[in-house]
Amino acid sequence: MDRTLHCHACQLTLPDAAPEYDGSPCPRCHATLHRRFPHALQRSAAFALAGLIMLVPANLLPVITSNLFGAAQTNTIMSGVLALYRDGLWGIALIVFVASIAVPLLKLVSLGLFFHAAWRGNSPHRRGLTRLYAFVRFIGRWSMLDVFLVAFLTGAVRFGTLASVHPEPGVIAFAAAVLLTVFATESFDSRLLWDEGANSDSAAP
Amino acid sequence: MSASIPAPTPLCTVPGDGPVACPWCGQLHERVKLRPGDVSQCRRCGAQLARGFASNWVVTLAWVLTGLILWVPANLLPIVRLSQAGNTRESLLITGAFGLWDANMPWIAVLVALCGIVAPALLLLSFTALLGPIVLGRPSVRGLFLIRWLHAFELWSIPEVYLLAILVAFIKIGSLAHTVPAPGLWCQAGMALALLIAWRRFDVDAAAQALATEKIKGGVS
Repeated sequence: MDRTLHCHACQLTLPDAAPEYDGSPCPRCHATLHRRFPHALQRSAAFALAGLIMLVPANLLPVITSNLFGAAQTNTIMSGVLALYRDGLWGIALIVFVASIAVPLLKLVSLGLFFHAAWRGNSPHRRGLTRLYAFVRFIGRWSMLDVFLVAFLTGAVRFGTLASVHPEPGVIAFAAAVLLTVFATESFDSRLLWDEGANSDSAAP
Repeated sequence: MSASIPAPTPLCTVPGDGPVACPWCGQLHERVKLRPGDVSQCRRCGAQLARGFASNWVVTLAWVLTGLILWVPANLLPIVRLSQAGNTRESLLITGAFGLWDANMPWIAVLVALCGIVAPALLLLSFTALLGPIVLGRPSVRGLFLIRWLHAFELWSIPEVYLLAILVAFIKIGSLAHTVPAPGLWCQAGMALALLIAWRRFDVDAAAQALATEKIKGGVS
């Protein structure tokens, strides 16, 4: 058994801590020390599942209505991307597509791979999966782009009846999906990828 | 507060110059001295563990203070001017949150304000409170509890994403209204950059070590 305790708040390493020390406060910063985050797999999977469910209304419901010079247009995330593409702004369309559609999907697929590998234990791809975990944690936050975009357009484009922008319920679902997937990646513990696995009967060394 | 930091118990070996664990996979590593520009990697999972810098806490604190100072005009000055048929509207950073608030989405408005405005400020203030005593040569365990919050603040602090959203909005409405960037936008960009650099330079372990060194030693035989 791994006797190392590592404080995720102040990065203190206790290389040889007795198992009883698990769950006690860090001697340096008082954050709770965990050999592995408690119930990491269950918590993370629950958040990921909730995020997956929220992604459905997030993509089906409209996120924005623009009222520009008498022409009203209601868009979902995908139709917004296509509208940008049709207007010749393919670079912007690509940015929004990656942040709002590709990143959430990549995150959920990656989380599925992590859960599978952590549950089985001793995955041959655990090095790559650990790198993927770090990457997914880093890019996950860029999904907030669409929420910020709708927020800013709503606030900035206010010219009475001439031009206005309104948010639609899809934004709430999308923000919820982003939050839930962030919680999912945060509650997962990538050290589980290097353990024996949740379903192995403590195999003999 | 200082009295409540317990001495390490005999249950564990004493930290300090001991090995460091990779936060990603748990592999133990001996400490090495990093030269400027050096990057240490975990030998098992390949994650980046630490980075060597030529300069010290003072330079990191300088970036933090730069970010903190820029945060003020970034929030007070207009970031975009929109002109349409003789009407001109100036937008502030908080305008996005107000827009959602008025559209009956208060929770999303709070989220936008938190991620784009509040969390970066909290992160910069925490850095100041942690680095200030070290730079002034008066390290104390009093501010150490802030270390527990750094990760949460960093997680929700995404001024660079807000910045990109504003730029995308810009291009999107550029054809409909006369759109001009205003000084607040550059301040927000500077703040986001300074924050990014400060976070990259900030070594949590070393800072905690510098602040807590006395108390840890107190418990060491």
